[in-house]
Amino acid sequence: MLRFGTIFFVLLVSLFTIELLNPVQVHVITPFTSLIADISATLIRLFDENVISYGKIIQSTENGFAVSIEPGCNGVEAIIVLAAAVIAFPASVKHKIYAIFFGFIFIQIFNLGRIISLFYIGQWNIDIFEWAHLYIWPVVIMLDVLIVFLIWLRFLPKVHSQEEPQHES
Amino acid sequence: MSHESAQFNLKKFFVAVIFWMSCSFVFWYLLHDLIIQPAILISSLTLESILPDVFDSLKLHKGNIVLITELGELNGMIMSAKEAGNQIAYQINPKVLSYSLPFIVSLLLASSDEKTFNKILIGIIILYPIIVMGILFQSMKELFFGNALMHDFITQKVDFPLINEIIAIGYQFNTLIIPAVTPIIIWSWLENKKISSIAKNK
Repeated sequence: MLRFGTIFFVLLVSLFTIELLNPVQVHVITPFTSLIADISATLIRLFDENVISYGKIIQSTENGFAVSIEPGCNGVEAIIVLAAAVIAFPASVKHKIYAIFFGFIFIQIFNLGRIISLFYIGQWNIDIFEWAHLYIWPVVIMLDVLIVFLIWLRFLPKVHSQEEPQHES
Repeated sequence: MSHESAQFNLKKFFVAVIFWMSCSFVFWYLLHDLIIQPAILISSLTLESILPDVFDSLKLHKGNIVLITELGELNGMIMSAKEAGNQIAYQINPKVLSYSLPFIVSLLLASSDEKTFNKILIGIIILYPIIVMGILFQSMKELFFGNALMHDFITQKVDFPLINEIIAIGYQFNTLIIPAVTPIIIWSWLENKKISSIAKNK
């Protein structure tokens, strides 16, 4: 537990610091965030034509309401947390790559749900939007990370757990 | 424990978390001013000792913290509040830091079979100083980056290597990562036997 905790913490801080570096923001995070905005707008247009996206902004052409996808809203932090936990846990490289890859997809699907839901909640009621945006969705996304991690633990081959002492028969 | 029952327990756990979240977030929201008051007091005393010439006070107003400085602005210049005849103030939302409290309570209520109250108490005791740290970094971020004039004025006063970088990373880390991740880390530590059992139940 101590070893896992130490590696997890060092990786978390390192990956998060790397994410904040200006070249990483310019060349990776901003284009990725714009892509998330484009995908969200494309999905919304399947049932609502009155939506445009430019850069990291999604806007309603009907009432002008817009959301900007900022750091913390693009799912990158959640993926960093998952990656740090998976890398820190004793498992094969293959299993770690699977976890990060499928975790990335699962988290981003959830995150698209977050963006689209917030876009409509904001047009409906700004107080509920604030609640959902600032308090509820961050918790749900992190819960999503926990779900992926725990499910991954269940599907890891037994060989990894045999290294630890058995407490029950 | 069989594969199916482990799966069932995980599902049960997540459903229970959602249920307890709906209760604990309401409770947290209603009691928030009371919960956050000691953190404001500790943060206020800390800021007073770090930046005595700049910081005046932290006050709770309608659920938000108002950070009042000893400084004012007149004709595009930063000067003491007395000279300027006004005080520069910033608003901070402490709920973006303290939602970690109902989150840890929900996780533990959903999973814990024994000593639940003790575990919740441990969780809150660990989280509270982290919330204080979050308020400090939010306050420092407002003081240093709240506006360009203040930034120039304060960076001249505070001579500390890499202070801008430390505040920027500290602020981002304390608002984007810490409030949502720390409850899960604490929960994993307090319920590590359950996590080990999930990994072993193949």
